[in-house]
Amino acid sequence: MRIKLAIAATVLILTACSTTPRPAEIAEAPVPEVRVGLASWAFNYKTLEDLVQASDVIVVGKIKGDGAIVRGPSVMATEYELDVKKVLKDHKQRDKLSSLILRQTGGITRERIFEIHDDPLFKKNQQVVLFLKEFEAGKVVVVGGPNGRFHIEHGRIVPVDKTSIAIEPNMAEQKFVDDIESIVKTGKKKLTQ
Amino acid sequence: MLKSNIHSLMKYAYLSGLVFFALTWGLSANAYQLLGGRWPNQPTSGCCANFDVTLGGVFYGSDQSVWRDAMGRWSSSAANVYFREDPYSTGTITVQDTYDAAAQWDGIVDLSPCNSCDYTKADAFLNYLYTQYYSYDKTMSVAVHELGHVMGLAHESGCVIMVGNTPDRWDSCGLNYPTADDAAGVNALY
Repeated sequence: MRIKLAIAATVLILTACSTTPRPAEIAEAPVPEVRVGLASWAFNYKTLEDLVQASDVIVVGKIKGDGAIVRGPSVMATEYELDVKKVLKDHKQRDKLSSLILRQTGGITRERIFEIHDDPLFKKNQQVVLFLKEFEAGKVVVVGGPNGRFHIEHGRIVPVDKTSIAIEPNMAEQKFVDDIESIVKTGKKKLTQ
Repeated sequence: MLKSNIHSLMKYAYLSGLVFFALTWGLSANAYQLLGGRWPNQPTSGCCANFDVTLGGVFYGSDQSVWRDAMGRWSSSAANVYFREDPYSTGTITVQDTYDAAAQWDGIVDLSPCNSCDYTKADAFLNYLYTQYYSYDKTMSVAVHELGHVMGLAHESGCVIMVGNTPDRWDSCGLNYPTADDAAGVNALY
């Protein structure tokens, strides 16, 4: 009897051990594949005046949230809600423009991360000055990819594309905004004393 | 006599120095950049890597012919690589076009599994949103550029096919074929 019980207990313990997932198996969550897209940009603006001219909308704003994946006709894209703080140019001259949907090629899913090499994905709460093209009502894309994208870090302007638009290093956000507003109104940068 | 010999020797040394400087400066201004990955099972001898390309399904306009000619441009270049249409349509490397109204790119490549690994798959696209307004030669400038990425070349500055935007590559430099620098980059890989 004792022998039978011992055998039964051993079988039970072995069965339990074999069905319990090992720590390594628990930890094996799917690791997203990291892929980097390589784009040929259709535009390349060399001056602030050209960027202003090419844009439908220019705003100072903040990226709200992580964005939603959109299955484009070719590669994946993400749509972010862009919280508009200040409108510097609006081709439709809307009375109120408090938010826009910003689309960018690339995105993050459970299976993969797809990001364009010289145009990294936007991040939540990123503060930005963006030169935009409105491809659908209320939906925009940055002009020239990284070309029309500037980050605001500690009140200073940081261009994403460091090879195209020459702006003075560590330019203050207010100075940059003043220059853009001046170009929108007069076609020229504000004269500084 | 001795004085004039020394004088001409110095002149020669000075001129040689100038020529050397001009050559090395020229080379460093257009030094190819690599993504860090390559296609495995291809030679590393500087000669004769082969790439089988599957042409995607439906094409807008003349984009399909452009891809074919772009493959020919690389195959006849000093890069010593050979592109051909994949007889088995394996889809390992595909070229196609799309119409993406919300994109600012006229061409794009999606390399798998990553830029700096051994590649297993590449999908290259032309964006007909723009190419419909481009001349045949300008569209080829984009296609030749994208095939450069497919092999493992990264963006670079100067008048080379791997410049990252079409206004500089085509409108300013008039390039729709690989330059010696682009070919040197490919030769360094295969």
